Amino acid sequence: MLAELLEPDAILLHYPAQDAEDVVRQLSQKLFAKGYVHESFADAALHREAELPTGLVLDGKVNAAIPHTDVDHVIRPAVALATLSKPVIFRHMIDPTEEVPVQIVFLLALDQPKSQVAMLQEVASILQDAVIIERMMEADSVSDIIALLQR
Amino acid sequence: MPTITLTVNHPAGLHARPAAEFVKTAAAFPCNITVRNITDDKPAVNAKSILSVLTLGVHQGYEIEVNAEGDQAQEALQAISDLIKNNFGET
Repeated sequence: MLAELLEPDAILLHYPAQDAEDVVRQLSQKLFAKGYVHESFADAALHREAELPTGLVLDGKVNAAIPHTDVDHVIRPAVALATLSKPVIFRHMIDPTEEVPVQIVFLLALDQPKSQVAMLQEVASILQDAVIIERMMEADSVSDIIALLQR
Repeated sequence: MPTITLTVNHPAGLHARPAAEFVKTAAAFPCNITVRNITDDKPAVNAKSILSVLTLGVHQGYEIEVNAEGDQAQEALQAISDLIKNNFGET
């Protein structure tokens, strides 16, 4: 499901992000340009991230964030992805007072609450696989990323 | 070992905020706590790990089994049961 929903034109590799907002805006803009989301998506995702953060501490070397927002801002479902050349700070999903330096971001644009659960399930299982995450961080091409996710 | 079975009625199932609240509640207790998706019959996972809980894929209306072992096991199960029965603090 993730490999199918991942939009090749919305994958940024080794992106030198200024901060978390920069990543979310860049990825949202890519999805907007391809007609997947409304223009309101970026603001809505950032607003949700401020209220209900999505930073996740992984077992390996890098940490992740999985920003998403209400289905109202989505036209067609898609996933955008960024690997970052240096970490940016997200807040921890369980303890929002905790800062998480994040280097891999999955931006989820899903049009049904039920598909959000299924997608979170799939993304969470990938995030638990330190080998795949390490290979994704090293990937230099979109086709490498898609091959890694087509397990 | 104390075990309870609960139904998750939140529209989002155990994802995002409900999942975070669930893990936060479990992590507040010293005992080992596991949770299992009964509806899909998946193996039990650590209830204190958000990634593990998200991989369970618990949708609205699914039944889960929560097991606690060790210090404050009963209190932990009570707190988790209250959280889910109160629909994660939402009306």
